[in-house]
Amino acid sequence: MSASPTASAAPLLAARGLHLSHGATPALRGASLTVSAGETVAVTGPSGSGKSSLLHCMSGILRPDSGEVRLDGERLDTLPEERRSALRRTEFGIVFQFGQLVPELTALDNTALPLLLGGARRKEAQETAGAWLERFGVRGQAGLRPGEMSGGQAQRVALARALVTGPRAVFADEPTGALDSLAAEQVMTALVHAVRESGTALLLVTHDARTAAFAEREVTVLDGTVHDPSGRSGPPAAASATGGAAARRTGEDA
Amino acid sequence: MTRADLTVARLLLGGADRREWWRLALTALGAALGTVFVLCAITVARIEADWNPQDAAAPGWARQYSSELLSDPGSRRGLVVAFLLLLVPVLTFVGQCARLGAARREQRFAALRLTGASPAQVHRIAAGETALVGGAGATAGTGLFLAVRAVLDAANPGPLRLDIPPEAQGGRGGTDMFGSTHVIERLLYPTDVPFSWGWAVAAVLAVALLGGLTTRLALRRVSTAPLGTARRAPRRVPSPWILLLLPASAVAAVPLTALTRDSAKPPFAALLLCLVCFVVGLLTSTAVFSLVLGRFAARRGNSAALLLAGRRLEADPWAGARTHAALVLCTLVGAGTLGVRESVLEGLAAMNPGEEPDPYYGAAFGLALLALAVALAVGAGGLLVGWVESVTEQRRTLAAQVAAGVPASVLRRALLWQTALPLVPALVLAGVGSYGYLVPVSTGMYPLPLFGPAIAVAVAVAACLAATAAVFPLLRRSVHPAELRFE
Repeated sequence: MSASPTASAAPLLAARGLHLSHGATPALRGASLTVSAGETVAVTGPSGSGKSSLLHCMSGILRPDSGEVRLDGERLDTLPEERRSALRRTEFGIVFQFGQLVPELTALDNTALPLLLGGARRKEAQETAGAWLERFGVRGQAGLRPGEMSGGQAQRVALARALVTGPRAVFADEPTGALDSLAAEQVMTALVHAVRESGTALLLVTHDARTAAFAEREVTVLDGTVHDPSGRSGPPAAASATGGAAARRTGEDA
Repeated sequence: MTRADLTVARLLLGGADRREWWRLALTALGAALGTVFVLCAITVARIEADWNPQDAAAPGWARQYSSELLSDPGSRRGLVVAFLLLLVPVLTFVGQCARLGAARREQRFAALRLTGASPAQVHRIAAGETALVGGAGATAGTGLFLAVRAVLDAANPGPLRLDIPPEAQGGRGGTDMFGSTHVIERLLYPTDVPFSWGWAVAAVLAVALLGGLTTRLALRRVSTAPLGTARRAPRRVPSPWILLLLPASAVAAVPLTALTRDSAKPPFAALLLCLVCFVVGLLTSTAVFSLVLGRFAARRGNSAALLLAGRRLEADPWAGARTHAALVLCTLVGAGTLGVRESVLEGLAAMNPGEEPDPYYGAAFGLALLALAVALAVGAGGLLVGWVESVTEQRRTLAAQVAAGVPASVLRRALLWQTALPLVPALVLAGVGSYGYLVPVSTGMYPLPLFGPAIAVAVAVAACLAATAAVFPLLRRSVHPAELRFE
């Protein structure tokens, strides 16, 4: 793993002292993590350690119970739901293991969806989407619906959709979890190549060491806290003693 | 609603597969039916008075029709209101359709949310989808209206000679200065009112818009998170105390009803307040019965079917509350109409013994009952749609129960109990309310007619149970062991 050229720059994303519980079960206990612009970071750890919860909080999908998430120094976690949705449409791209594509839409329309939701004209949106499908090698599947594609093809469409708006960060939660090893390698190669080329940061959650090896930096989540060997994310669980900043819930919840 | 919302809605519709078609087809059917009712209302409202409007004795009369329902301006207004009121059950049905396919819908909504659509935008897209399908259905409804109109026009009798009083000036017929009788057409149906494309377009747009708004309203409590967990905002558990509204309003209404009969200045405002309280109590009663009777059946019932039904009702007492409300309201008005009809016809027979009562009343009540029958059918259809949805979603669980040894007949009886426990007491209460309240207030006649309200309740209960039984074939297919192999 080589150090990122932008690693020393001010962080694009910074999470500090995140606490999150799902009902009575704590998922995050003072997790902190920073991601610089253009950096690829792998988040590993055993099942149930809080990897996905960390990704959900940092991408604005979930609001932490306490702690803070900043994008370019601006609080993200206190934004109302409408603004966080708009961020997911413009600044972030999100890829999951499966089930993220709209079943009714073709690969082309699925890829164009973030642009359409943002008010782009359909023709322009489809042209941009087509170019991204081409980059990921699934242009030939543009007219197919998710149910008519293989898992690897659907994942490539999901990657194209995540990158179609030119986001500043892509969040990928086990993007190869449902794929065989060959398809997984192809998908990861395409993803890492695309984010490096466009200077997009990548936060990659995985439990697979081979997938994590594609990233420049690797951190581990254990019992809801982040252990960062580089030391850039702060000492693990340091913020948990004070609980971090109290959550100030404003606006509408998800 | 932005252009982007409509574009995405259109794309979603374009990609709808077979599993979605029946939901869209039912939405379009509801919109088509609604458009027919709106166009009927517009047609009746546009009937031109044939009688001299200046004539103080009979202003606004349209003598070209054989039925006084169309000739009498007062009856025409009633008809217009009745046609428009039929939109209520139809829109309830359309709203019900929007909530169908919940699992599929949640997947779609979650994917949209993950891509950056806000909760409000997702609801707007769903409303746009209904509006587009509703527009297509409404256009088909206009075609249906035109077809029926052509059939009725052909069925209208030819010109008839009429005995028109000489003072009828400005009308189509009459006796001229030479004493010869003019000939006019006397029509059964108002097919002489020219069809207006402008009004038709307005009706289509209105129905599509109302469909969209109804969807927005129906989904207002559904919020889908980007991770695909659709949450329904928690609803308050219904309080059994609300049932006290029923006896309280009834007790308050008794002396007021007596005053209506005896006093020169009847206290109509107070009576209306009592009626509103009664209706509110009645509409909430199904949820209360679901909770209370469901709990009772689950604890004390001595059959597996009762236990299953009771627990399901207790778990979600508000399930189907909208459809139940439409059915209860229908029964209340239906029982009242039948009671008043019985009262009026008996009164007329007593006043003019040996004579046939004026056919006007028979026709008026017949039309009102036809409208109520349509409303009841739409309500029962909503109930059926709800059961289809419920069985489809639970098919894996149901198949597992059968595989574990639960007889399919127990599941069928459980469904019937689930319908009967909340609905039968509420429908009986609706009948009792009409019997003791609506009929005496409307007619001031005693003794009260019993047969009409009883028939209305029996028909409503039978319709609800029949709608539930109609889902049995689907239930039989759903419990097949093959269902255990698929998600």
